[in-house]
Amino acid sequence: MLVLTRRKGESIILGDDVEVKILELHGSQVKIGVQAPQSLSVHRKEVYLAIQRENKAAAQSAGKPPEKPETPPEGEEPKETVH
Amino acid sequence: MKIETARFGAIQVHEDQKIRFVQPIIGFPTLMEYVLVDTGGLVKWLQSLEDASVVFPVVDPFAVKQDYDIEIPMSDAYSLELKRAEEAQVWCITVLSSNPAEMRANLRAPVVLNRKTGTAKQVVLPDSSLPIRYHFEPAAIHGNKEVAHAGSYA
Repeated sequence: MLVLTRRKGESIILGDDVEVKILELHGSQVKIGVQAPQSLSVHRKEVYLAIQRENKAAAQSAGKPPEKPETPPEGEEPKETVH
Repeated sequence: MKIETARFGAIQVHEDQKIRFVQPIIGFPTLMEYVLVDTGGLVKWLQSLEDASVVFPVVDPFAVKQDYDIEIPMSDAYSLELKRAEEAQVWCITVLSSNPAEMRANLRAPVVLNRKTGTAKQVVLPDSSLPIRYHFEPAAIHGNKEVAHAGSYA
């Protein structure tokens, strides 16, 4: 993993057309701005993972025999913090 | 073309019924082509054409939540070449369960289809108040003739 130190207002550039900028710092929270082409999807990781888990549960539920009860949900989608 | 599926056996799929994902369904990165199988109930099925064992139960979100109201982000509308709302068909991926209280649909990340082009995408909506797990009781849904457990869909 590449590790870079940045200050508030500084950016990194990914490829030719993606910019990730540090907008604000508040204790352990960082506000990040992402400028990317419309074709590139940007997700909060916990939301992405929750959707992925749900998709897999859905596919699995369709393949299972209907008598078998589903496993209970493993906790709700994590609360979103301010970026 | 004839497609073998784990759930439905061999099914006939015409070229114009194919749904091509511009981005794969999250968690299923290698599968790009699907077909919608309608068995007549509330739940319909998004069957992979590339993996016989992969099928997603889907529901019309407006059937399970009448006030479901979304705005498809510009970037997603652009990648699906959607120009008007009528061109879009929206499906929510659903987890089936023999316990009706555990049936749930993902309202946050619906599958949006452009009916004209047959292209689709799982769109992650920016509205974080939309639940990824929206519980609904199939029996409570008006016009749903099926019994309230997943067994009836088998």
